[in-house]
Amino acid sequence: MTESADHQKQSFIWKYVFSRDHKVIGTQFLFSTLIWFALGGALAIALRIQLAWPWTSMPYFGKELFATEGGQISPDFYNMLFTMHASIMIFFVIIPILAGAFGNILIPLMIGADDMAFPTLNMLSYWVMWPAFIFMGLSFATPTFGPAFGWTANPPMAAGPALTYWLLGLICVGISSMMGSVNYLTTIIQMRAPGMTMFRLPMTIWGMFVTAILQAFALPVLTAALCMQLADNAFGTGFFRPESAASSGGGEPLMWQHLFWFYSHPAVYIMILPAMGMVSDILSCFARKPLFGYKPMIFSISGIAGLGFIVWGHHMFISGMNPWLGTTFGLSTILIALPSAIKVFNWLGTLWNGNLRLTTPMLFAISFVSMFIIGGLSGIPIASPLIDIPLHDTYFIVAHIHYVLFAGTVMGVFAGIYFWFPKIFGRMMNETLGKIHFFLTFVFLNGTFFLMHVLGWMGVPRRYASFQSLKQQIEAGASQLELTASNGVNKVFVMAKDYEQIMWINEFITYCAIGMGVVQVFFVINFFGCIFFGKRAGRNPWESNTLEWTTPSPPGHGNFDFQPVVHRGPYEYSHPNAEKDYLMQTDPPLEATNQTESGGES
Amino acid sequence: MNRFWSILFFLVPILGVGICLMSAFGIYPLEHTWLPADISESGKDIDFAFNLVMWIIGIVFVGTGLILAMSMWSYPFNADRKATYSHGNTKLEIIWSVIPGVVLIGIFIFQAVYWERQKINQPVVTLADGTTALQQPIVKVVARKFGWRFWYAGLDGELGTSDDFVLENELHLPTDEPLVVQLESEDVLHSFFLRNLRIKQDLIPGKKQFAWFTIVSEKIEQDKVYDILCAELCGWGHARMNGRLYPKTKSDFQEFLKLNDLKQNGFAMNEAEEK
Repeated sequence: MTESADHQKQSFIWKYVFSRDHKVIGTQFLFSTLIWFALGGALAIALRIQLAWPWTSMPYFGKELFATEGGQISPDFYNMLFTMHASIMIFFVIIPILAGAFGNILIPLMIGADDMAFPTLNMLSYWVMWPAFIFMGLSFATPTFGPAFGWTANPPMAAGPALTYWLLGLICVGISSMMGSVNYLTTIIQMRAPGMTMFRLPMTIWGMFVTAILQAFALPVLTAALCMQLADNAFGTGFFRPESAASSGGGEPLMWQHLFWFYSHPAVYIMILPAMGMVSDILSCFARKPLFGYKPMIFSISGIAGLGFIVWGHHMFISGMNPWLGTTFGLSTILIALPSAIKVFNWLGTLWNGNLRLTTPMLFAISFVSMFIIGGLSGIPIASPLIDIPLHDTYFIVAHIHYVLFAGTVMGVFAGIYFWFPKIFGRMMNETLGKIHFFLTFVFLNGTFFLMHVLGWMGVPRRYASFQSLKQQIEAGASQLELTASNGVNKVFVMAKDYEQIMWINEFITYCAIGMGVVQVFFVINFFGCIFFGKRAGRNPWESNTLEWTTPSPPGHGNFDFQPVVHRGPYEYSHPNAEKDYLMQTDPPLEATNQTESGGES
Repeated sequence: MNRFWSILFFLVPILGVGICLMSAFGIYPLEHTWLPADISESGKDIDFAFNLVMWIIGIVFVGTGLILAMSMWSYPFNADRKATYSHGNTKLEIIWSVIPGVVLIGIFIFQAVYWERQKINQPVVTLADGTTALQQPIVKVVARKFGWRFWYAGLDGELGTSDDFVLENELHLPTDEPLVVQLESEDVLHSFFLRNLRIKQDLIPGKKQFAWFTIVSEKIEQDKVYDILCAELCGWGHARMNGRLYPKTKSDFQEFLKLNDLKQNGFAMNEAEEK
């Protein structure tokens, strides 16, 4: 309550813009990331249009930007589209919406603290995102040569002013995340309410806690690598630039990949562990049943985080690193499937024999489980270095990452938004609109991403601006070849035969992707409509157990209007001795069963 | 309503596995969408490993989907009853940790053997004096924006000699013998991707690498040409960086070498013959 003396006379600017209140900062993160989500999605649809109808006039921006080419985009611009799509979705949407928005809003509320440990640092962690937004925008707007190097920015191809801006943007994101992670770790360790032991924390907080550890240890490596590439690019040093005809750096391009993936693989867990935590809480709440295997769940996410640091090489099985390393990284990668499997089985155990309230957040949470099963299973073939050979850098990888990060994390994020919206804004979201939104998103996302697996095992490489040129190239090559080849009769081209299949699948995927984009209208209407006109929510509309539901909706400055004291774990649903089917963490101990219900024993 | 959602979620594994089977068995409209035709000696092992893993994950996919759908179908909300009060089951936790663990490690060990052959153990040849040495490459592949340049060792079978010759985007190789190719990049990262040989290897500027394989003549259809793709983003022309592979019998390949030798190094001889 450091601000209690002077927060009364705060002006609008200090209350809503440069606020040090964790809820306001979290909401700022939420709105910023949702806007970036819409932008990143628009880029995805633009590149899907190019893939389905290659080199045709691009609607809207094509006519503005590429008037001389009749509205068709350039191959370089296509590369910029997927580079920015990935950079925005990863660094401006998923990481900040989980850690920045949900982490900020939920950590103090769920552990019973009045704010973060370092409110000013917390405010800075949001405002450092703004230079990142600006740098990334500048990078995209760099004339003639934008960020067309893929989000992995592999040297020596990545170069030029666009890269400098891109790197500066990422360094700012890294600084923001580091500030956040220090804050989350300190808050969770130091500021828990009386009685809130570590093993009474909800899974959401465990997810955030482990994520913060990952960020604290992995980000310094990325930041160092970004600075090294910045020096290469801006000052002509030679950390990663190789000795070759095109450059004389004497550096090692593989070194960048190692350093980049040393962060960016743990980043995949940074992008899913908090969602796993939120989904665990939502499943347990709406199954009206204690979370199955609370401690195994905690050990699993810790296991995922620990192993997560020694699996980065699976992005590099065929990169030219020592193939013996492929063996060790293959083993650690295959083993990481195990804690993931344990988590899925425990979620299914939570649903089994439950009393299921299929509300919108519950449907999104169940779909997280259903989709994570696909994303997890499709990880097994590519964890094996041998099977990765044909699948690497094909659409199989695109399908895999989108099943984990879109169908997984983003569905978890939607579940979280529908679930905690009443707490954040004090009003309920509309259930009918929510269910329509869920149903259509679920159908279209599977339509979009599932067939990409098929393209993948066909051997269709990713990051191709079109497959038309491939066909033409092969045919043109054939006519030249008749002159040289001794037996140049009717050649049949393997890729040309596949070409028809690739084209209709790509068209189908694009229709689904556009559909998926359009149906988000239901979410936008629901979200903004209900901020103003939603049904008023009481303190605990979902009859949930955790501490945030004991506060008013929305909670005032300092969060709790009483000192919460925790008596039990977060998942005491359907306790046989309790009157109702839920027992809040702050409810006084049940007299008769005081012995059995302490903690969240498994 | 719970039954509707239950069916929706169960449709995911049903349609998912259905699509995989349609692709695998070439059922309309997904014919020609399974793994590309294999023309290599070692490709069958990669394909077998892939198929095996696909069967395992397909079974798990349907099994978990069934449990998910059944719990949604069977336990709709009823205010009059309470859910089972259980925090977990240690025996179950052990079972569902150990079984997947064994299966996963089994998959790993199974594939590691082939990985070693595919990427670690470069073929060796026995020299005249009885010692063994690494087999020398028959072609040097030089990737650059945005094409493939193939340096052939020529008739003497040795790279870096005066009878070497170069072809752009055309890779002619003999069948039925173990081959080694040397891989280099002139400018940025590329990836040498031969779908039908199950070969993919990134090329790094400033680094010499090797790939090895055997093309099996029986698996080749008459006069078929196979594509060579770049699988690592290299710039705006990435999608156009396509070469072609022409498998040839041993005698055809010798003829091809001679023809090109004449073209490149034998003008004088050529003219003399014509006279």
